[in-house]
Amino acid sequence: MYDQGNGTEPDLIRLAKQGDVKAFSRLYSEIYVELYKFALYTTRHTQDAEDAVSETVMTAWEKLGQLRKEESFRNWMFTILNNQCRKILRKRGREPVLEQPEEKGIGRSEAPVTEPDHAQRYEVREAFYALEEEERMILAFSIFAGYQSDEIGKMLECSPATVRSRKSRALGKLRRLLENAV
Amino acid sequence: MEEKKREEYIEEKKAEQNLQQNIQEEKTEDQDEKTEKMLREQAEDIVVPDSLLPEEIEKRLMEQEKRKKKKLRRRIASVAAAACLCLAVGIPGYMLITEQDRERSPAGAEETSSETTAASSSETASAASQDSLLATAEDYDEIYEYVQAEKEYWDDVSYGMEESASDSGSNAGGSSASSMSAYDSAAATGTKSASESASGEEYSDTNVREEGVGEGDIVKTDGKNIYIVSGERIHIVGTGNAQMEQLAQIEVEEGGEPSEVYAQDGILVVVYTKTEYNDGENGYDGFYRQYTCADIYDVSSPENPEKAGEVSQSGYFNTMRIRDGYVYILSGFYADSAAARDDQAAYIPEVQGKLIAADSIYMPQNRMGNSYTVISSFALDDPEERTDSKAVFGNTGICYVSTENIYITESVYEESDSSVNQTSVRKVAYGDGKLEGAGQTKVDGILNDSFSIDEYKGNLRLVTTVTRRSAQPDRDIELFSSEQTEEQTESNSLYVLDENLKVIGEIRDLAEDESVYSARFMGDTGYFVTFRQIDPLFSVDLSDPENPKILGELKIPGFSDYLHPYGEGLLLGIGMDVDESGTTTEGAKLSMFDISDPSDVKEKHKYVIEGMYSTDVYDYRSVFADVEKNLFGFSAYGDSQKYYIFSYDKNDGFQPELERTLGTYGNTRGLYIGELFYLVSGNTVEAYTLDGFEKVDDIVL
Repeated sequence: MYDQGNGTEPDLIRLAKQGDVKAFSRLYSEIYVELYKFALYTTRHTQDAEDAVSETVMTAWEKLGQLRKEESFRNWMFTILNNQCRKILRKRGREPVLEQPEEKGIGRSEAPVTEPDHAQRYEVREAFYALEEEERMILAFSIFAGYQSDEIGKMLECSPATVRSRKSRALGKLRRLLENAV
Repeated sequence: MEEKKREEYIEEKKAEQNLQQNIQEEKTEDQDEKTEKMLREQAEDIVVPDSLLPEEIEKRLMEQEKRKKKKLRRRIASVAAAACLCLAVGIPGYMLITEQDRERSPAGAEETSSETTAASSSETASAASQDSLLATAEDYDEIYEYVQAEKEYWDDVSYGMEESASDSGSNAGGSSASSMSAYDSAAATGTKSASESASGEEYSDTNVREEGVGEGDIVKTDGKNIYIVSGERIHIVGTGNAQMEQLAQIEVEEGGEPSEVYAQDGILVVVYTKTEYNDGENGYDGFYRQYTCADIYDVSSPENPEKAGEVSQSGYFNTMRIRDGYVYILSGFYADSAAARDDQAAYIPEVQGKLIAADSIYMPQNRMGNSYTVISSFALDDPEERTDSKAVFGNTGICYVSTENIYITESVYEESDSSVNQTSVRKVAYGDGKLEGAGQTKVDGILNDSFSIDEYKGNLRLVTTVTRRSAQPDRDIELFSSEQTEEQTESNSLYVLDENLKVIGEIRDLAEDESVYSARFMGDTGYFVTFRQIDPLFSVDLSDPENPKILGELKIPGFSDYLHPYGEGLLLGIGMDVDESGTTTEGAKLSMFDISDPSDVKEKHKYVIEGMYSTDVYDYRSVFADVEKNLFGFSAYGDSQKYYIFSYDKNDGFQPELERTLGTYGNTRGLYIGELFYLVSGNTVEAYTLDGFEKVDDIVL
């Protein structure tokens, strides 16, 4: 028999749909770190990331009834989050590439400067932020949401082959940025 | 000579270049992997802001729920005020509505309810019975257009989602009736769950939704053996001898996930979902495709099950029904909206490897959709000879199967032309393996589970929870919160539809601000439980289908998730006990209602199992109920999962017969054969005496 007992995702979703906040929170607790990382790497601002995840949670709670039975909570959350991030980016409009993202926002969560490999970490993130929006999205989906190319393709409306080539291009670009920085 | 050398040289150079390129590509792939790994590692120490920690989110949601309740109350007050104005103007039609309203004997608390009825009835069209014909597709092209339309619609919605984030929804005890599958649907008259095996021993069958319509489950018995779905295997456990013994194991095709079995007359049907990965044309556009398969075994000698046939159809398994020797399998198939028009297999479902013909595909009402319910049938004694197959276009929600019709329902949210959520109903008539589309309609509100929809004497009765959104700004509400401009109110409706799905009788605006938690139609009377803080159990007289009447309303704390007829004049409720604030559950609760006078229903006895925060009765098949033996059982969850058996005494109330702590969390089933009760949980089966519930045997599979 499948272990579909209490505490498994279908059960928690059912409870959450009935208004059980705790069940919802348990579902959320499984993925919130990845949600935040995804948002941070896509929006490039801690405050924006915080807003995006926060909005996603509220939207998800309100719209939970729309979650179809065969859909996973995780995928659904990432779909909403993706839209939130895009919306934030659209709102912000065209912005200069490579601003100092970490200095902005209130909820600064960066590790202290004394951390030994902080410099390197900072560079990596900075390089990442220098990528274009779509490139960031593709990489964030792959790295933080664990999506395969076909799934990313569905989200971004392009073929898996396109996703693959753009992903590879983005990673190459990232490497070059890092090499130049050194 | 020179020329030749030159050519050779060029060839060599080319080969070298190719080689270099290949090496380069491999290198890139390698590097890509490393870069990804590095990115992942570098992100490991990112600290999530406190405000996003699960416990903080939980607090915020709790707060929001409280606020919403307040606002809803305000909202009702202002609607009522507006409605009074309307009444003052005096439109003759209201007389009728208020008349109806008086009959439902509202309790003192809702002095505003009759006015509310008047107001909302005038502003909302009654349950639409639009073009009720179920049209088949003209050709695959038409279907393709529908799939594309659905895609565009959802693209729009998901972009627009944020804007309306706070408007709608299923929240706080709210519309628990989302589009869950038939799996959580349910009904069962339950009183006749016992059958007799060939050996003459009495045994219990699965608690089914509709008497006379068989259902598959994870555990089945034919009165001799127990068939158990466990992981990727089916175990056959013999009960004929002094001790249980494992007779055989059946494995499904590799990659298949067994869902349910069904056993009858020496035949075992094993249903599983198989996922196939297709590489696509150029190796990059691969995709997953799911099939629902049924393997049919001859188990007349259960030690040696012999495969007698296999059938398959597109989509993931939804539910199966058995009637008069025919098996009906329902699966849900998703069209790939990214597919090219000529890639028909990506958006047209298959049965036995063949595309379903366009004239066997029924189209949806909204001119768009991306999923189907695929229904096919076969005879138990001649499985490979498919008798019929149809696909009903549109999303699948709760399925209800009466003895003559299959009803496929879908919850519709966010329709631009309606301020309320709705349920579309599609009706497919069946009999002797044949399927025929019979009609479709849409009603306001959504179903809680399959007990909220019931066919009786050709009429279909539905009880729904209606969420009405109103976009007009309301100053009164803005005082509470600045972020919300849209408001919603919940109420409940009951409809009676004739065989053409035309509404012939209805009651609207019942139990404002509450939603249906359980329902049970019993012939000419219907019962349903709504819940917000207290649990009114409504009884409805449906003897005149065109004029349904609320007979009574019993208010008690807590709610029932599941209602089961328990013999003459009694109705059993299994649910939760809730404290007076309506927010904390205090344990699982059993209620026995005296329904001998439906206009004056009483809670005769109640029993609270403390420390339990939920039960498994939402899947009615996990309930064991045998009214003649006066026993019922189910699982409840607290610190651990426990299985309970109770009996009921008219004077002394509920009597615990068995309380068994289970080793693991999971699906559990109880059944009896002859004098023994079998408890199947995880990979163990335990046997108890039916008389006294003493454990006599167990087996680990």
